[in-house]
Amino acid sequence: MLSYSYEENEHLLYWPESNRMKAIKEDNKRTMNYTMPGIKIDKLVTHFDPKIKVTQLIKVANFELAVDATSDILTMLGQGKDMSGRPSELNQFVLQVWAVRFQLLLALRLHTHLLAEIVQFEELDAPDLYYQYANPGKIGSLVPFTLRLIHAEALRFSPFPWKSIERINRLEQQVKNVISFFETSNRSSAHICDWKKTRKKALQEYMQAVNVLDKVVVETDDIKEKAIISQALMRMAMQAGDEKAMNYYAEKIDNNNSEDAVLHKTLRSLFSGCLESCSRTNIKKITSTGNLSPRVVNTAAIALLYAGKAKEAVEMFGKSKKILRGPMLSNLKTTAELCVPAVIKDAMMEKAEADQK
Amino acid sequence: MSEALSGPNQQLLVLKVMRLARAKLAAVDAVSVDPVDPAGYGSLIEEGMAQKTGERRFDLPIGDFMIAPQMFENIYLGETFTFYVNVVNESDQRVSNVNVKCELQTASQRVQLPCNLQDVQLSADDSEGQIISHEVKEIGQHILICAVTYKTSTGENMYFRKFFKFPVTKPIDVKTKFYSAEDNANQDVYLEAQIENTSNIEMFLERVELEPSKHYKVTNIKHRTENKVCGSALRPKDIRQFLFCLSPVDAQNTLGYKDLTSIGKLDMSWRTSMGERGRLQTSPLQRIAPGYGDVRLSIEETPACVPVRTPFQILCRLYNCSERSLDLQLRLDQVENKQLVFCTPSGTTLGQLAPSQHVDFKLDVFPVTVGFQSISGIRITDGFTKRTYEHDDIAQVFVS
Repeated sequence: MLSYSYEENEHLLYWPESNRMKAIKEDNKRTMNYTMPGIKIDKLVTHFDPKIKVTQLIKVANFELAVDATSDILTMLGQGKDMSGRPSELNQFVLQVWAVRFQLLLALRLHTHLLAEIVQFEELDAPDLYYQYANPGKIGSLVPFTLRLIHAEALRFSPFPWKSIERINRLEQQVKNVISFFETSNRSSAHICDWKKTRKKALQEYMQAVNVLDKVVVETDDIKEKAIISQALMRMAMQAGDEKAMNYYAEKIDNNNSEDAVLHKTLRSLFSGCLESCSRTNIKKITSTGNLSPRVVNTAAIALLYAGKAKEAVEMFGKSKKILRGPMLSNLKTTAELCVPAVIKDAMMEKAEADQK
Repeated sequence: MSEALSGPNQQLLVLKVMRLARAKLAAVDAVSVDPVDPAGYGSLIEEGMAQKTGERRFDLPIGDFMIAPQMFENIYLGETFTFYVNVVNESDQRVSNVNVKCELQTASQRVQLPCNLQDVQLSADDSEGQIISHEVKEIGQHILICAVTYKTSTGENMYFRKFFKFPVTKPIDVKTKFYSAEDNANQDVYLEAQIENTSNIEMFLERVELEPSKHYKVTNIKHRTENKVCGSALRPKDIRQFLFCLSPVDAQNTLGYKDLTSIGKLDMSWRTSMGERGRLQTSPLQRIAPGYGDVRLSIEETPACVPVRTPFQILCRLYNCSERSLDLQLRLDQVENKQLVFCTPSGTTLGQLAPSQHVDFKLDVFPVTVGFQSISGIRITDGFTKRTYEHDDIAQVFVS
């Protein structure tokens, strides 16, 4: 997965030449190294079996080990610890490894590490990041589009979050340029579509504003997608405290008895503060089935807690096959602290923590 | 919330108090994914994230999981303080006669909160609790005092108390301004209310109404372009203005102006994150009565345009706004440049006028000069006090 054919993906790898690239065009030697990255962090996990592949680790959601696996690959390619600033070979494969590594660091919220490493790629405009720099037969960028997205987004976690907006705007402009270039050079509609509908949309969704998402709802033909975004918009309105918008989006959500519909009804009851009746009807409805998802269990437990039934809420958590890290684990702790003797609570938390591993 | 324990040691019960601010929806850590990524790792990482967190989507800014409050958040005047009070039997013996008493103490008062935890039996490891709500009506330091009494299995009476301190601040600041549109034809008053969000969270003002006093009717003057989807958010430190027009119920003002000082109360309600509600009402808004003095002259009928050198008539009405009878005489001062000339004789008696009564009189006017002319020079003298009330620029006509 880390390597793919240039020929098959040529239209996705296309990228307009930067000023830095244009400036060196006449130089025939092209041996100079501009980008010299090296990993900056130690291994996240001490015991690591180097035989396991990155892909397998990601599949089992072991992101820490997957990061360590990318460290090993990069070290082998001369971009390991303390190799920053030293020349090494740049190619599509190695940049793909970096892109996966950055995605993993983002998923693990290791923002400081991410920023320390991504800064080595400057503004992603160095000549040696272009195919044509070393391979005159190929045109495009070695930088995966994902890396560009992370490059723009990472600044949100820096001391200058507003600079993130600048990069996103620049990225959006560049995408527009690619689209208009493809349109004028009569590229196939499938190629244009890849850029227009998917990459441009990825940027817009990233901006995450209600009006943007609202536009996505209008533009999409996929009924399921429409429903999911409408539900998210309803939850965003609730989080803000906007009853009018909540009711507006609630009307757009299918009013059937699906798990989603009932969960969103429960959320509305929480918003309106009439949980007493809700816990009697909706919660019973969604928890009557045997196979309860963590999402259902969590919502049901919160509803029970807010209906004054803390003990039942703790029991509800027990119905989940697994207590997920994050909100669910923290809710179990909060609820158990309220109504369970300390010794029993500690045992409960230990078990939940052990289940994480 | 801070707490302090008092009472004897070796308690068998533990009292737990949790403020039930609304549960929030947990944010999702977005992962940047190129939808047409040739390597395909983005979707793979998203699948892994879904396994770890239970969330289904990572391209949307909000998740599916609710999270109960982790800390004691700010509470504001007008909101409802809701908390879960729970007694847990941490011992291995049965306790009986468990009673919990909750009180809320402020700078000015001590309020007993309704608590049903009375005469409860608790076996080992068991607990019992309830949710209590109280509308916060005062700013400043609040102390929640929870007192627990119970009997051990050996019959010993036990007692302990817990204190929870929390501050209450003002969520909004209201400034009002009055504009009098009152003239000789209209007695409307406009109230501008400036509402500032002084809290540190975004709020949605759901209702801002003026409940008028019995002397006024109110019209809410609203901006036409309201967002059809979203409500109107008021961010921290933002100020929004509201305008109300107040018309006296008694347009003829037979009661006099004295009672028109009380305008009414502003009633405001809002919601914050996850539907937390708040409501506040101002104390009655007062304004200083306009200084009309004892008599008020109103123009009942007058033409807007008149031809030059053709006499016209205006109908005037004079109100006695004082609390005594007046003996009135009408005098007309001819203005020096004489653009309008009074044809009505000056010095006529209007008779005695009881308090809150009115008298009508007509004036014949002869326009001399073309243009926009103002009627001035009406002098009313009270024979009892010998005071003269001067009325100038009471109406305008266009002479063509």
